[in-house]
Amino acid sequence: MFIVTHKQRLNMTFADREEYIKLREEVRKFNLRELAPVSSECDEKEVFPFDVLKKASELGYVGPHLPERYGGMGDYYAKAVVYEENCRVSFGYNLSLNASDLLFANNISKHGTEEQKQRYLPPVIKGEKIGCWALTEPDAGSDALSIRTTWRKDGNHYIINGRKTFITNAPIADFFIVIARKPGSIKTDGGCAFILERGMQGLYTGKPFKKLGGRCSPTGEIILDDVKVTRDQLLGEEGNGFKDMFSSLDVERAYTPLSSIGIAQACIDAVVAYSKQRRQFGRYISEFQLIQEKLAVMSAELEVARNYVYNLIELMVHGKRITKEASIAKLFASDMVNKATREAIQIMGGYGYMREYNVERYFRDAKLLEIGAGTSEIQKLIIAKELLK
Amino acid sequence: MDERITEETRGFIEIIKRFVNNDCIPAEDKIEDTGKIPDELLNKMKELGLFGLRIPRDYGGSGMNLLDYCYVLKELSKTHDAIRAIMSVNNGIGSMGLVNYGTEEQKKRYLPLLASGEYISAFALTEPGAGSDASSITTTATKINNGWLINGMKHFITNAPIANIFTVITLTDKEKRAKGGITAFLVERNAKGLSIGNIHKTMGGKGWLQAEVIFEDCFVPDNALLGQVGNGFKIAMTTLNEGRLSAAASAIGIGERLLSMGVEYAKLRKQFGKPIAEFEAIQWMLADSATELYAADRMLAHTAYSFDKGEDIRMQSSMTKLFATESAFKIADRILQLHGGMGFMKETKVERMFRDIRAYRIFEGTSEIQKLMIARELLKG
Repeated sequence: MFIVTHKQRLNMTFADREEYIKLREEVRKFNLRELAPVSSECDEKEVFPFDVLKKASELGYVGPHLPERYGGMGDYYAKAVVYEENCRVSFGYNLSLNASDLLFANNISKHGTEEQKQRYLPPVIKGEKIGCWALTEPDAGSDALSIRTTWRKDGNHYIINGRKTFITNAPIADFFIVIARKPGSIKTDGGCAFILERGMQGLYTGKPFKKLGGRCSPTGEIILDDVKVTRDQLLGEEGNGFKDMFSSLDVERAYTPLSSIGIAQACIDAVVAYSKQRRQFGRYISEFQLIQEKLAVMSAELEVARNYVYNLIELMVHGKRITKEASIAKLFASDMVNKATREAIQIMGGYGYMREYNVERYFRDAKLLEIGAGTSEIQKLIIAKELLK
Repeated sequence: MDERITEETRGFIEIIKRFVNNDCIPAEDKIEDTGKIPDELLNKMKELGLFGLRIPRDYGGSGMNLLDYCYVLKELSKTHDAIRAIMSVNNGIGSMGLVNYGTEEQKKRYLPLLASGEYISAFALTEPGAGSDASSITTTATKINNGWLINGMKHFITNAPIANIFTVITLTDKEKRAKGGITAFLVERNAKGLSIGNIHKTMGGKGWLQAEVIFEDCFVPDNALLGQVGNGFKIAMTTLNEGRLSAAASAIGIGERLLSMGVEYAKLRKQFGKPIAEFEAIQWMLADSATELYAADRMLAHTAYSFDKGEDIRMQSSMTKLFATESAFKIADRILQLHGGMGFMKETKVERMFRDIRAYRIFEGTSEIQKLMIARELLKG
């Protein structure tokens, strides 16, 4: 199996720079050695590979985008390389890692006080603690601002009540960011983000949900029953919760489509190898035009998506507004990877449908990319809104 | 309902609808968790005569024509796919070789047992090296005194761990292969030298019990021969021809169930202050799904009816299988999407149906093989 696939590409993005080519090789080697051997089993048993996370953190693969003084490298491109390579082996592993070091930790890094950063960032970067970020509720999915989790003031304290669902890492998290609103407030007013810790009175997490894909990444509910915290646990300014959330959203949205790139690359790795060794009708199936057509389309769509997504990351790093571009990338890349996983199974036929071959897992994992972090339908609405305004 | 379906079968379909709603749907989660159909439910299936719908009346079955059978199967597919799988093998690939090519003695011996469900059957053609290219099988049968010795391995064989009788397709002449070198046998479960290997772990189809079947100097007597020596490829292919329509019927049944779940959820789920059914994007999903199902259903009825009239349906059965299974897969994807995050969770049954339906584009001939067969019919002559 080759290590680097796009070394020969002529156009230059960050991914073509010597340092990131080298990083990619290292991450790939690490993932093949540590993550690949356990990824099927973790999917089957629905458990997160904590050991791999710990080892990855020792090499700097957890939170590389976070500031150096808390243990990161302050390098958003390195995060992109690690993100994509992780998804090429285990999407579920990256899903949990990302909820911890990006959704949780990046929000702390961006909106937190110095005390909050010192308390929460180092243990996450060291892989000792797991974070999560909680917005979605049973009745607030695509319509995210309709959340009903509330906060109210009680002297110097805040009291939080409500219920969150489909929260990545909730069953295993040590730290939580929870978004709540002031009763009676509307739209983006009245929001607060709170940093909560496991063990706080009134905070409970439910059993992990059983899911189609992303199964080594535990997803669950958070129940908040009169959770009482001091001002130290407020992230950002009171009432600014939604505005802060939107301001850091671009970073998260820029990375999301890399999941599709990683999984689609894994599909190509698998089917190129398979079609060169599988014989039917007296020939290798790679010699049939029907198979070649599938490989060619998979590769064409992947490379187009890859270039667009790398470009998107550069725009994000340079602080450009990427509302429309991030939606285009997510829409296109998640559609691309769902086609790729479908075709990968199809090329492998009965074998593709069996658990012992990884494409079966890639197929189940890819479906989440059309749902999580804004469904494809919502991305289309965002693109149209940007076009029409 | 199609007016060409007999009065009697229409009444039976109403019974099946009630059976699916009252007995099967409540058992779905249990089947998914255990990979096994509860005995009580299996007994009810037997009482309803579901294992012998296609088997002639003279041998204890109902002797249904293909059209009627497809519409019973369609209703029965609106629940856990294991229920469809276990009965459809006895009605199709597990018995059709016997019905069409068996000797009177073989039919009398096995068909009543298959029709009652006392015997479960399996059809063993596929091998690790022989999928779409079925004529490249390597499992051999060698003639010896008063019988045959079978050697080789089959895999992806549905029902294998619980089957009492296997239709096994073997190679008897390496030179001739599909042109007279392939032979079918009826092999009983307790034949010496037959063993069950690994049970495959699959994405979906919990309860199909797909497994490897291993033959090591497996002895079968002369009267286990099905049809003539060298006639096995034809037996396998005609058996599969009919199987394409039953795959289409099941896919349409699953699609119809999904659509009704989608309609129900869209009316119930509110976002942005109104039921999502009021959004055009959701309406399009439902409209596309209903349109595809209508087209597939008409293709099925027409093709099955043509078959019953004795017409050659090779091209139409490929088209129907291709269109129905590809459409059902798209519908499963749309309905999962319509459910959003909830659709990704196991507690909505869409998640299971999405995994199950994926196999339909592979088994009974992949979509790609169907296209080749359609093209071959178009281009010949």
